[in-house]
Amino acid sequence: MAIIVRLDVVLALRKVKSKDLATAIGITEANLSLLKSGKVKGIRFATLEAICRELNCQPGDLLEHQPD
Amino acid sequence: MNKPSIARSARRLRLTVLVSIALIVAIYLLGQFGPQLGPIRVESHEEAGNALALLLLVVALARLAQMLGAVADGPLFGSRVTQAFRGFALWLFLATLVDVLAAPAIVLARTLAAGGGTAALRFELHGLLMLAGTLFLFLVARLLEHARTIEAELEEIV
Repeated sequence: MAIIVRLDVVLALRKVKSKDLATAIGITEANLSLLKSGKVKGIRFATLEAICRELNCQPGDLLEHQPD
Repeated sequence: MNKPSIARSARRLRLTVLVSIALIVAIYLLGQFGPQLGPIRVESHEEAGNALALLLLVVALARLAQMLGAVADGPLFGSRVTQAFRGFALWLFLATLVDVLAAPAIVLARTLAAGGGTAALRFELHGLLMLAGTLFLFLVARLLEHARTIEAELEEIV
């Protein structure tokens, strides 16, 4: 897909564990893992907002468009 | 009712449906070709479209058995379940449709083949009610299948 999820990079930069983020934003670790690997069809604005709030970042830091 | 007990009930019900299919087929075959079994004699009063309606009913029951198998295997509201349920409802509706319309259709065809004229088409109220009931069941089953598809898509959005 042309949209690349950069969540793992932002997590590493902020030194936040996936488990902690999942707990903080109220989704399962399994779903967060699927999101990190880009294996989901979409992300809710509520989830995106919660991630941005917890990691103190912008949506653009998490998602990148790479033309095919 | 918890999941294992639902699975157990589904398996039992599936077995009942399979036995019913076997009984229906056996009774039909006995009526057609069977010898007299002691004091028991199975008679068949064949009406137009009976065999086809029976065949469609057996297909519907087979789809019902598939649905119950899918319920037992899980997930309870999975796409296999809703697809098989829609299939069951469709075949049941077709069986009822054939049962209700076969006789009038034959009367109409005979009248037309004889060069026209008037034909009295007879419909039984209970047949029409059954037809409406199975049609609504099919529409509900189709709605559930669409709902399952949307649900599956939403499950992939985090």
